[in-house]
Parts: sequence; structure tokens; C-alpha cells
Amino acid sequence: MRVPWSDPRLIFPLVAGAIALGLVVHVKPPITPQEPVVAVYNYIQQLPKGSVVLLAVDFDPQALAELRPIAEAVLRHCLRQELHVVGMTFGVLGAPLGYDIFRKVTSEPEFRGKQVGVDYVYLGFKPGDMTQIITNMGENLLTAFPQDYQNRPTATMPLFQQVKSLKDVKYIIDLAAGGTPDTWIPFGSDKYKIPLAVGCTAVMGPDLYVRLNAHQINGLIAGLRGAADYETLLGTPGLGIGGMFAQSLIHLLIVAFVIASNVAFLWRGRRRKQRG
Amino acid sequence: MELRAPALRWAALLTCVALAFCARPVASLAAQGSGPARTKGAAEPASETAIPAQGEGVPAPEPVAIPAPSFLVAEPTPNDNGTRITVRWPRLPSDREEEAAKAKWRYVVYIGVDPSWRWFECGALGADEGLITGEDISPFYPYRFSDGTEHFFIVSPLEVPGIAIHWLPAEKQSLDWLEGSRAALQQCESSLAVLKKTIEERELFIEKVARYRPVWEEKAKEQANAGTVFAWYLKSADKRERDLTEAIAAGRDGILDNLARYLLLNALIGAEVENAVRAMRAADLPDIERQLRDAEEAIRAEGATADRYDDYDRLSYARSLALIREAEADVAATAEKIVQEVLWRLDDLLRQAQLPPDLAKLGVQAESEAETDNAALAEALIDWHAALAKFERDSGPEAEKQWAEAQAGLDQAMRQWQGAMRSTVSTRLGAGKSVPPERDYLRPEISRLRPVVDACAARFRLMRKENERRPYCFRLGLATPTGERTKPFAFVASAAARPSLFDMSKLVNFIYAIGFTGAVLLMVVYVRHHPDVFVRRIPGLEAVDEAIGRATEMGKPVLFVHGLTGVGDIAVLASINILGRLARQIAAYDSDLLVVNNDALVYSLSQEVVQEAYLEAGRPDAYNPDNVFMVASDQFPYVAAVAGIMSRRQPAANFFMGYFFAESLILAETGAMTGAIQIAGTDSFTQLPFFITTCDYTLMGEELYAASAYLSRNARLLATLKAQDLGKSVLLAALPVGMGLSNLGLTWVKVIFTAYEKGF
Amino acid sequence: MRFIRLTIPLILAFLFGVFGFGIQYVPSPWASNTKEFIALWIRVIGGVAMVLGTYSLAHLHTTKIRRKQEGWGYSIFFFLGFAMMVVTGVYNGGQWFWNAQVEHSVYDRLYDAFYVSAGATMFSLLGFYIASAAVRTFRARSLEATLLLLAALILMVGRVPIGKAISDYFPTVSEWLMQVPNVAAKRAIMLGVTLGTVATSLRIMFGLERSYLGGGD
Repeated sequence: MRVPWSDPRLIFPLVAGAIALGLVVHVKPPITPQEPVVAVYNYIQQLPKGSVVLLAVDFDPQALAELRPIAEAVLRHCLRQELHVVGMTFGVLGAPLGYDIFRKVTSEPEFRGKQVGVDYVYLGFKPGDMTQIITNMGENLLTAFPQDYQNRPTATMPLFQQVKSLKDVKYIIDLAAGGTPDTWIPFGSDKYKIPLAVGCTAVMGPDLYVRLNAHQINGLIAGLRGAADYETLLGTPGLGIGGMFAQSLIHLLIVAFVIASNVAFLWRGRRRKQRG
Repeated sequence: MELRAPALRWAALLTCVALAFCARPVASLAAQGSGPARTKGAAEPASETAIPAQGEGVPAPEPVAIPAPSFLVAEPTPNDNGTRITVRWPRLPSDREEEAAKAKWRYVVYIGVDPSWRWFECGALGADEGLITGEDISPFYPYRFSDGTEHFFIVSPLEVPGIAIHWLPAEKQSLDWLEGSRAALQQCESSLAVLKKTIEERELFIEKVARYRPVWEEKAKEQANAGTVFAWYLKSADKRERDLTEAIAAGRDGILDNLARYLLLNALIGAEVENAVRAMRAADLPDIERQLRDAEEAIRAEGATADRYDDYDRLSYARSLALIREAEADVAATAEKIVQEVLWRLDDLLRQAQLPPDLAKLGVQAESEAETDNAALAEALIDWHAALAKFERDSGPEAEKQWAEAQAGLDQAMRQWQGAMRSTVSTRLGAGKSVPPERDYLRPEISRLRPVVDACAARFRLMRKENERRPYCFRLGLATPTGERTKPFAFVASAAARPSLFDMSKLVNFIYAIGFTGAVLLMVVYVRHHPDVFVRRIPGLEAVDEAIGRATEMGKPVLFVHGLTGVGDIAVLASINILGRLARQIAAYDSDLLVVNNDALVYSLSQEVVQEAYLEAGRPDAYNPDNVFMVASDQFPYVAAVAGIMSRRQPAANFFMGYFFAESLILAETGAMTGAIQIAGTDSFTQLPFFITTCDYTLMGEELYAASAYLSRNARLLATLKAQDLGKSVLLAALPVGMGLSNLGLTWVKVIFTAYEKGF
Repeated sequence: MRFIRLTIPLILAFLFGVFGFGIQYVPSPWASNTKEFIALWIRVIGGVAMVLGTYSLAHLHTTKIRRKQEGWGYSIFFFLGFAMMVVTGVYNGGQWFWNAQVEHSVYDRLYDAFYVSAGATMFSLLGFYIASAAVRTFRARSLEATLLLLAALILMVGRVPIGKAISDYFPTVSEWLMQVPNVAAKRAIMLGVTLGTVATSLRIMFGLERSYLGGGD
């Protein structure tokens, strides 16, 4: 019987079933964090207490599934290390997402003692040309963001007595679903000599390896796997680790399909040769 | 590329693998020159000068005699936008330098507006620090080519604390306060609107839940298991209600914070206006303006000195403040009316909200209105000005320290005043005695402040620019190992910052650009005499005819998709060029062409191009303007529309030309399912794999740009392809040469590939 | 007529091209202000062109409804959706459109409920399509295709945790594939694309390429 391996009517239900199975059955596969993710983790780990980290939540709802776990894991790590986190975004659609992430993580029991304006702040969205805004932030953060996302004046926040501009930031982490790293690198990281790490969707990962190789970014957290790696390093399971079993199943399913269709293809070719 | 012989194929594959192995070392070598390196021992600004303390572990100063430098040069910093000046002086002989570095002697750079006036320390650097040679100054073009015999020090005069421009920081501060007060009022206004919405939302939610709550509670009790879905409903509903209630409380607190902030800034501006105008001893605005004109005349007629600049800036600042005062009818009364209005509106809303006791608490510190110490605030402001004036007069670390203390004192006074005002407004809100105002005051005040802020901002920008470009003097001194400053050397150098006409750090890039342009034009001339230009076969473009023919035979349309970028992206222009040629062929074949757009400008362009193509093909009657249309301006709505068109119209040929994002796979896979022949062309590296796997032919990267020339077979256009090939040949030749030279330790070759070198 | 339709646009393209090229090399604040000014006008023109685009969209759907073409019922939903978003956006929660956008208004809720959900749904289709595309494409038809197949299999297994459980080589080789051949290919394509971009820009600047004007060569 000839099996139509490439028929969508066969593939799609199996893919859907594998995803559903992977999400319903809670299996935690062994995860060995990848080098670029470990680089980000190690860098944050060695930052002195009280250092300021800028978390740029530059993604929109479509990339939420991959980038939210990364954002939460990184934010948890920074707060655990008693670093001060300043969040912002260049995407208007990402503004409420960033706020949600900050609210969710800071309302966890572990971080109940953290205060907005002292330990962290979420500045929200700033309209305008990205290059111009980064330059403004490099001169004066307060004039670039006179209020935070909830319209609280930033000038009276104790955190902004410590960080007046980008020059006082020790690490920038850009969570990107688009081309924002291409602007952060020359105008943020290179100009003010601040190390930059990028969290991105899995599709963008291969593109950013070039930047990683050229040492323009010092770490890369790509896709759900990157989130899972970071959660493993942190010891706090989240959506990343939760999705790994499903992702593994899907990959294995696709590999099985590919192998099966190739075997069938080669078998048919052989039979054709034998016949004539 | 088609390679007929298997041996050639293997050779190409092995070459690729070898290059891949070599890519990493080459990349890491390139990276050493590509990004600006951290400058080792960059000169420290004056405020961070580490003065070694006396005591344990600090060696006694060595009797090192450091001679005066033979020259001191100040020049506008090259490749700069007119805000910086570079100071250079020769290095000591190496043995002397070692001695000095061991003994921890340092050079100190001073800046002043006039040689006879006062000097400010703008930086200190050790004998082995600063921009010396090699890697340390490699980001600083053209100083990187220095032979290592000079020190360099780059200074932005306006960033030197207190540099004889007392009024510039004062102006900036006033502007910040004005902008801040307007912003605080705007936030009050918008927060009140948001608060109202949140309260309404909470009311609706409570009402809705109240209908279901009895049923849920009953069911939850029946099942008596905390994990049931009804218990979860109740828990979620309670949480949502709590969240909304907390949001209301947070909104209220935000409004009170912003109100307090507005009142503080208002008070500060008022105090500043009073101080400054009193200090002028001027009767009124016309009097100040008269004095200002006199100061301007003096500068023009008798030349600029520090005193005259100081007078001019002082009067300009006073005039600006006097204008602010004139623009306000009655500051105190207006502020009080605004407070009344905001508190009344807030009170009205909170009565509707009925917050629970724990959230209704306003954080009031005292039962009665806390006193806001206006006198303390005004005093702190006077102290700030006095300390800054002292710093101008006396300079030195002691005066700077006093100024920093005065700044800290002012900040603290502001925080205390704002805190006290916050308590005051909270108490007034809590008392519930607010009355409705007779009219709106909030919105008109916001509108009134706008031109005032704009005028101040414009003035500040002008003043800053004038001060950036004025001449400054520089001197060099020494700091002993214990941090004492010696008398500066006699040399005085002077320069004014000027913007450069040409950014020499981009010279390499410019040369390449001109070189490549020259190559293009040369090739155009060359092909005029040698029109027979060979271009390798590009299967994707060879298949265009086949695709259009297939569509004609099947009687189905051809679909053309541009990609998601606008006319600013060159890929779209390349796709438009291809569209023109395709349209001409399709018109000749009498087939249908559908062009689906997602950008309005691209849509206008496409329409024009397709219409002209049909005209040129002699088939204006066949052109249907409804076939070129716009479907959506966002990514996924566009994809959904195109996928729908593919499913319904079942085009026989799909062309995807341009820059694509995540939607590429959805488009191509949907097209593949309809059985269409698909030709894609993109320069988006991340989407190429998706097109390659799903389309019949894919134009990768530059093939998209070559397509127009390839299809037209126009000699001039093909000439540009030859120029591209020339450029690539140069790069391909440079790669192994560069690798070889680098492996031999000759890393200077990196310079010719470092196009954008910006150290500033 | 030809002068207006062809010559003037070519002259303007050349002048603006040279000017835009030139101001990149001038560090003066005047140059950066000019760049901002030009960028601002591009946005203004884009805004005006949006009117044309909206007209085209409305015309498309009106024609469909009028002629009762296949699927014309969906075109009614276009007008419904369009009207809903415009009205709620203009109303802006009672603040009207000239004030800052009000949060949690009906517009926001419609946006979250319809637009964001639909966008996420479309994005999730990728997961299914990649599976069917992979099965169809990764066939060992030739040597190059076999190499591609092997690389794809190694990467797919190596990039998930189970890969390491199967063999330590999977993640190692897949990381090498990402760091070396992938980066090499990307750099090679970037080189070609950059040269192609410059060449295309020069073709347009010097008037060698005129298809975008609609008049042919």
C-alpha cells in the first residue's frame, strides 16, 4: 500500500495530536543548556548587586509564545541577583505585554519585597525613531521617559537617582521579534560600550549567530529551546521547559516522516529500476 | 549554478567546506577591528578623579621631575558634529614615563573661557593612560594613525561641570521643570479618564459575577473538592475584582503623585523667577531687555571676554524667566484652582468606586495638612545658585564638592516638599470637602503651557549651540601622587569646536562607494563596445516564460506578491522592476495578472507600472485596474487575504518577489497546495530556507536584484551585473590574501576593511 | 509630456540619490536635521498614500458585493469590521480621537479579541506548514539534496533536548552547523546582497533602470 507521506491530511492531524500530547503529558526531558544561553546567564550572574539592567521588550503578540518565557526567566534571574531592572519597548503592541510580564513576575511570592521605582520599573513604549530615542536615552533617561507605563513620574523614583542615562546601565537585553538588534548594536551597545544580549524567535536565531560570532552580542537566547535552557540554569521551570517535550515530539515526528518518505522514495526508485 | 562535471561539483563543495572552516578564524580576526574596542585608561572626567588618600599602602611621592611639554595643541575634534575639542601634547621619553607612572604622577587638563579668568579641571590622566598608541586609540580616527609620541585628550566643553556657563545648567533646569509640570498635568488628565473607565469596568464585572456567584458557590460546596472548576471560577472572579480594585487605588495614587509633582515644579519655577528677577535689580522686562541689548553690543564692539559672555547669559536667562512670569496671570491662584478641580473629580470618582478600607487608605502622615516648607525650598535653590557661582569663581575640588552638596540639598528639599504636598493633597481628598470648580482649569493650563515650554526649549537649544561653538582655552598641569595639583604649565592652547565638513572615519567606505560607482559606469561604457555580455543561467528566471505560458494554457491568472516592506526598501524597487517586465509578457500572452499589495505607496507604483506595461505591449484594452489592489497593511491580515485569493482564484503561477518575514512559508505552502508553479526571490536570509523548500525556483539574495537586468537583456543593465561580479572578485581575492597576512601577524590589512570606524 | 513623465523624475531621482549619499558623510548637525526632515516627509507622504490604499480596498470589496462574485458575503464583514474599528477608534472611549488613546476602551478590546487572536492563529499555522514542507522537500534526489537532508535531520534532532539523550554528537554537530556553515552562508549571501543593493540603487540613480517609472527602458 502506498502511504501518502506528504499528504497534509495525514501530517496535520498527527502534528496537532503530537502537540496536544506533548502539552498534556508532563514529561521533563533532560536539558543541557547551549553555550550562547550560558553566556548570558553567566554574565548576569557576575554582575554586582545593584547594577542596572535594561530589558527591551521589543516583540509583538505574535511572538509571545517564544519570547514571553525568555522574558520571564531573564527577569526572574535579574531580580534574584538583586539587580535593578529597567524595562521598555519600541513596539506599541509590545507595551502591554511587557507590563504583563513585569506584573506577573514581581507578584510572585519570591519577589514580593521588590518595589517599583526602587528595584524595577517598566517605562513602556516611546513613539518615534528608534535611533533618536536610544540617543536620547544615552543622554538623559528621565527626559526620554518622564513617566513610567503607569504614568508615575520617573524623576522622583529612587532608581533614577542611580541611573540617569544609558551610560549607567551595565547590561542590555533585547527581546526581539524583528530588526531591533540591528539598531541596538551600533547605537546602544557599541556607542556606549554596554554589553548586549539578544533573546529572539527561533527563526531569527541563525541570523544572529553572525552577530554572536563577531562579538557584537555576548549571548543569544533563541526560541523556546533558549527559554528552556535559561529556566534550567535558573532552576525554575516555566513555559520553556513545559514546551520542550511537545517540541521534541514534533521534531521527532517530522524526522520520522522525512525518513519514512525517503525510504518510500528510494524503495519506489529501486522497484522502478528493477522493472525496467 | 549548474556544474556539469561531478568532479567540479565535488571541488566546489570541498571549497565551501574549507571556507566554512576558515570562516570562524577570519570572522574573529575581522571582529577585532570591526567594533570599537574599549579604550584602555580613557581620561577620567574631573568628578571621578581618584585622588589617592594618604595612609597605609600609599607610597610617598617620588621626587620625579616632569618637564613642561614642548607644545600643547587644541583643535576641533575631527569627524565631529561640532561639540568637542581635542588637546594634544607630547609624551615623555619612555624611561621618564615609566618613572612617572610608577610614582603615580598624572597630567591634569584645565579648560577656561579666557586665559586671564578662571580655569576648570576637565580631566586627569596618568602617564600610561589616555589615548596613546595601537589598540587604545584604534577607534579614534585619525588619531589611530599616530606614531605613539603624543597624548590625546578629547573634551566636550559643555559637559565640564560649571564651565563658566552658570546659566546653561540653570536654563536646562528651568526647562525641565516647565516640561515636567506640563507633563504632570497631562498625566493627571489622562489618568482621570482611565480611572473612570476602570471603575465602570469593575462595576460591570461585579454586576455580572453577582448573577453567577450563588450558583458557583452552591456547586462548589456540593463537590467539596477545592480543585473543581467552580471553585476555580470563584477564585478567578475574586482575583479579577481584586486586580481591578487595586488598579483603581493605583490610579488614584498616581493622580495624587502627579498633582504633587506639578505643584512642586510650579513652586520651583515661581521661586526661580523671583530669585533671578530680584538678582537682576531690574524693574521689569523692558529693563532687562535693555540691559541685554547693551551686553550684546559690548560683545560685538569690544570682543568677547568671559565677563561679557557671563553678563549676556545671565541677562538672557533672566529675560526668559521674566517672559515665563509675564505669561502667567496669577500662578498661585491657578494652581489652587487646578488642585480643587482634580481633587473634586477624583473624589467624585472614588465615591462611585467604594474602595475597601485597606485600599481606601491614602497614606496620609498627619491628620491636618502637612506644612510644605516653601522657605526651605527657596533657600535650597538660592544655595544651589550660590554654590555654582562659587564653583565658577574658585573652581577646584572643594568648590565642586560644595556644589554637589548643594545639588543634593536641593534634591532632598524637593523630595521633602513633594512628600509633604502629597500628604496635603491626600488629606484634602480624605476630608471630602472638595467643591466643584466654577469652570475648567486643567485643560486650559495644559494648553497655555505648551507655547511657553516650546519657547524655552528653543531658547535653550540656541544658547547651547552658541556655547558649544565659542572658543575655549586649555592648559596642562600635574597632579602629585597624593592628588595635589601643581601650578599649571605656561602653555595655553585655544580652539573652538567646529563641525567637520567630511567624516574622515567613513573615508574607506566613501572610497569603496566611489570605486564601485566608477566600476559600474566603466562597465556601462565597456559594454557599449562589447555588447556580448555573458551572464550565467539563472534557472528561476529561465522558468518565468514557462510559468506564464502554463498560466495562459490553463486559463488561470498569475499572482504577484511584493513582500512586506515599503518603497524605502530596495528589494521592493527590484520587485517592481521585475513586475514591469512580467506584466509586459503577460499582456502579450493575454493572460491575467493579479498584483496584491500591502503598502499604499507600493500599490500606487504597481498600478502605474502594470498599466504602462500593458500599454507598451499594445494591449491597453486588456488592462484591468481591479487586478492591482491593496488588501491589508498588516502582516497576517495580508497573508490571510493572499492565502484566500490563492485558494479561490487558484492561480497557475505565483511570484513572490521582495522582502518577506514569517508569512513566507504560509504563502508558499498555500500556493504549493493549489498546485501552482512558484518562483520566489528574496534577500531575507531567514526566509530563504522556507522558499527553497516550498517553491519550484528561488532567487537567492542578489539574484533578485539581477532579475531585472537578466529578463530585459539590456546591455547597460547587464553591465551593472558585471560590476557586481568585479566587486565580488575583489572581495574573494582579498579573503585569502587577508587570511594569509593575518596569519603572518600583519594585521594592518584590517584597516582597509574597517569602513565605519567611529570611536566617539 | 515625456519631459514631465520621464526626464523630471529621473533628474529628481539622481539629485536626491546623490544628496542622500552625500549627507551620510557630513557629521554636521545640519546633515542629521536634514535626514530627520526628509524622513518626516516620507512618513507624511505615506500617510497620504494610505488614503489611496483604503480606497482601493473599499473599491475591491464593493465590486465584489455589487457583482455578487464568489465569497461576496465576506466582503460585508470587511465593511463591518472597518466601520467598527473606525467608529470605536474615533470615539476613543468618549475622549474622541484628538486626545491620547484611552486604555481598556472598546477599541482596545476589539483589537485584543479579534486582531491579536487572529494574528496568533495565522502565526501558528507555520507549525503545520513547516511539517508538510519538510516532508515534501527533504528527499535524497541528488548528492546536494542528501547533504541538505542530513543537515536538516541532525539539526532537528540536535536542537531539542531529546537529541542529547540520543547521542552527545547531535547537539555538538548541530551547534557547529549553526556556527560555521550557517554563518559562512549568511555572510556570503550578505556580501552578494549588499553589492546587489548598491548596484540596483546606482541603476535607479543614474537612470539606467526605468521600469519603476512605468515607461520601460
